[in-house]
Amino acid sequence: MIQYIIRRLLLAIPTVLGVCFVTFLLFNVFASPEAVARKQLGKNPTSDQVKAWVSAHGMDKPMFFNLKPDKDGHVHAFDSRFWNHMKELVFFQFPESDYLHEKVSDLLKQKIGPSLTITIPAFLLSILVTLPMALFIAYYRGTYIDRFALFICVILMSIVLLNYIIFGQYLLAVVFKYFPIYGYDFGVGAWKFVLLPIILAVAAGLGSGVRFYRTVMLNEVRADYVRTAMAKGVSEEGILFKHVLKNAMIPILTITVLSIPFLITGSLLLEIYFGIPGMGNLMINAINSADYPVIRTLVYVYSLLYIAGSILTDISYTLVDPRVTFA
Amino acid sequence: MEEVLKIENLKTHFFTGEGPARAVDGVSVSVGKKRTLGLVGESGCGKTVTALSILKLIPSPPGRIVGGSITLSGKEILPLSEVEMRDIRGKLASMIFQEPMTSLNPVFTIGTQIMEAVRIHTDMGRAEAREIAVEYLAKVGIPEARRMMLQYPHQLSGGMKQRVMIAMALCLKPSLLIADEPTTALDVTIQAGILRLIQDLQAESGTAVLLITHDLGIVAEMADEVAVMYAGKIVESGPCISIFSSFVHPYTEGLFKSLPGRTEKGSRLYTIAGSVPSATGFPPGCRFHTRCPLAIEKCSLEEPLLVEVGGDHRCACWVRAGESA
Amino acid sequence: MAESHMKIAVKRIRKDRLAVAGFCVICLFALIAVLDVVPLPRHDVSGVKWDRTVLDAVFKKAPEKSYSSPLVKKGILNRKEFTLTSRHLVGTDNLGEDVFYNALKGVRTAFIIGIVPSLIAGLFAIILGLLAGYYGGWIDDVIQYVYQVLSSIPGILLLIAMLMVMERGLWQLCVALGVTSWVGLCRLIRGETLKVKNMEYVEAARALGASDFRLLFRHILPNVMYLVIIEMTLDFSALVMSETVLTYIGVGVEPGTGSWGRMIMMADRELANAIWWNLTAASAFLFVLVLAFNLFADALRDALDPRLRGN
Repeated sequence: MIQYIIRRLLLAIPTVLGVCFVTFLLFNVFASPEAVARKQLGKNPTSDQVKAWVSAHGMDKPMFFNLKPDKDGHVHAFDSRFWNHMKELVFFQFPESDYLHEKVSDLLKQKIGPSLTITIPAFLLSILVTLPMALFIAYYRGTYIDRFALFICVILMSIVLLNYIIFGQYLLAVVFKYFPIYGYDFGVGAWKFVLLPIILAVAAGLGSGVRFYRTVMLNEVRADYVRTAMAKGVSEEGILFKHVLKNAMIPILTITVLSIPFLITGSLLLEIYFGIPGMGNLMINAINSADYPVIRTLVYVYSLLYIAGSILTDISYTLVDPRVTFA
Repeated sequence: MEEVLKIENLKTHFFTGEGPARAVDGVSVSVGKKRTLGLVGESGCGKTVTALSILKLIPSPPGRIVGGSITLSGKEILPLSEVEMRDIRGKLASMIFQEPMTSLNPVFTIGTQIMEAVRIHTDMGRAEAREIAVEYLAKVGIPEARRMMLQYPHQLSGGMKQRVMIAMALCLKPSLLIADEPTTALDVTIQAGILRLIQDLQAESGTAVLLITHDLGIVAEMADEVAVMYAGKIVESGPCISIFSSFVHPYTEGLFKSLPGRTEKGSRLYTIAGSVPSATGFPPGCRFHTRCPLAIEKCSLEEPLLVEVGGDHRCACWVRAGESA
Repeated sequence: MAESHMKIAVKRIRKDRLAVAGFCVICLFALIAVLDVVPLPRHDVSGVKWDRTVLDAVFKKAPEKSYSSPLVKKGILNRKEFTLTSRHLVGTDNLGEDVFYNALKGVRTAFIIGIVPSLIAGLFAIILGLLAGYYGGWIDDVIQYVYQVLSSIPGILLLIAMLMVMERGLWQLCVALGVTSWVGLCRLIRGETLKVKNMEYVEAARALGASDFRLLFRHILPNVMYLVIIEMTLDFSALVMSETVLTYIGVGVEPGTGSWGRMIMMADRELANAIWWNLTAASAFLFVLVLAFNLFADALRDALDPRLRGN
């Protein structure tokens, strides 16, 4: 297994490098350093201020190769925007945020916690709620219960997350005052601020989750081995909870495990609306203020998470499906 | 000879959007202890539906058993509830299917799957059930049975998988084994082994076998009695020897004539004209009359009844029964 | 071959009454969108200007001064009442515009955002997916590498980067959405092409001397199309929903274009003042359209599913 992981990680390196390159292009080719400087310096900076800012951030260096000798007459060919960018990311020497003037790595450490206090409970609660519901519906497949539940799922799915948040927040926090509207408390006090976001996140995902799990299970129910099990005399419960469920785990696991690394990135909308100082909030603020160091670091982290997720998924496949081995 | 299985006038219909499909429309057969009945016919004639009806495994929308009676070892099957049926399935009567590749659950070991069959129907603990599973795996000819218990289905060949299915079906010593095209998906070289296995186990335990197939060669080897099905009805039935030596019904005749072995070298292979009608649109009168070289006017008006043509040999055909145009 | 499959699919869909209802709703909305496309002349002092559409002619009302509740005769501005020039079905927004009219204007935007990016993404996905699946080898490796890199970058970021280059606008948004969302479909098409290219009918065609191009477009593509159709109908709802979110974040369509996203965005401040009709109208329109599409798309997917075809 270790061999497999190492091989996957090695294969992932070109992808990560590609991601770094693309982000470099996006922000250096598509947005001129002057424009970024102007955004950072606030209202009406002088051209000197702009130049100083650009210089201080190393953005006046050549794009790819620096062939101009410096004061001592040495040529540092790799002292260019591109290579500095790559060095920073690959060696995890994350820079300082332009806007917030803190090291990005510190920012990350601060922001991951709040995001996790929402995403992890939402993730677990979602599975605990949707999977049994889907099993229940699969048991009554073909009956009116099934059709009715399916219709409800489609209705729930047709409501945008934004609507869940706005209506939910308004009704439950403002009108009925069951929950605080906004804000966050670090430490133990956090629970009352994250409860409503968690509930809304689970509610928004209920429709599509139940439908997906139901589809997966009904797919399995049509299989030949179910017919064999019935011919053996296995009960309906036995078929669903033993035979079907274990086979259904395979596609379910793909989706579920793949999303685990992204629990760290947090939900943009939830964090904005409820004032949770998490990773989502960080991302949006960075985008709005063109905080390039934060953005490129976040993108890099994001791509690492994606790769971690797909490796985890493949490993979990081998654990659940005996037909799959590390090949 | 006691009758283990007695089907009388069974009717299983499927209610689809295009009207009712009368897949099985008045079938009566019986199988006795230690005997093998071969149920023969082309694809789509209703053989598998008949088999599934015995264990009441017809998918309930859109199918339904609408008439007739099925008796297993004296028990009336059709009035039984689903819970009561579960008791019968696997214990009183077992079924093995055509596709061994997909008929076993891929995520459980074969040992687990056989043990499951045992433990559902008995009070045995795991250790006892395991012993029975090992015993039957050995009986069906799987080498190193105890080690094989831990294998997964995908690690076995098609033939071995089918042997496992047979072990699973027979480990509780059922009175009836229904084998739905058990060798169709297997290599010819493996087929003989499986068929011989079924025969041996039948001799040992006295199980009645309902063998469903479209292969006349297999029928010749295995069956004591034969019933030929066409378009949801039995058109000819009787002892195997009788049918093979002196078939009567024009459809049976067509089947035999189509065998390549019976054709002279160099001449064209015989085919029965036309094609099997769909179950939603059977022709009136005798269902075979549109393809039958002997058809007379009465054939398109009235359905022929099964009449004896000698001994236990029966045939449903107006012309063969002596009617003339 | 493909026509009879479509006929079977249509027959199946007709049986699902909800899907048929959904389809009717979609047609109704499409009609509204079309009305918003057909221009009508508006006479100005300097000559004829074509900046009015049929929809405007029918539904546009003279703007009031400010907010007003649905179906009332008086609005409130700075704590003082003022009389309205006409009754408004769902009230007026902060600029005095009729809310129902605003919601109707959003329909055209919704349809464009729901369909155009899918077409663009579909184009990329089909070409690259077919090539990758059919030729394999280094072509496959390169294409897989490209989409692995693209899918590792958060979509929001790619979108925003692209939009920074182009100006804000509906069509620019469509292009950006299309270019950033072809990866999923491409993977599916590549997988299906791999399966299909080894099927016997393709072998048979090759044995008859068909060229690669012919094989790809006459034999493989039709069998892969069902994936594209299903994906496009499913994506419609997701794309329309994402327009609202993107507007909220600030990268949506330019002001002046109808946008349910913008109407919903204002809900924050409005709800605090007990102004609920703007949000409700936009949300209701959005919900009905997305629901209709979901119902129809489900039935379409079941009807086109090749496993259910041999019934």
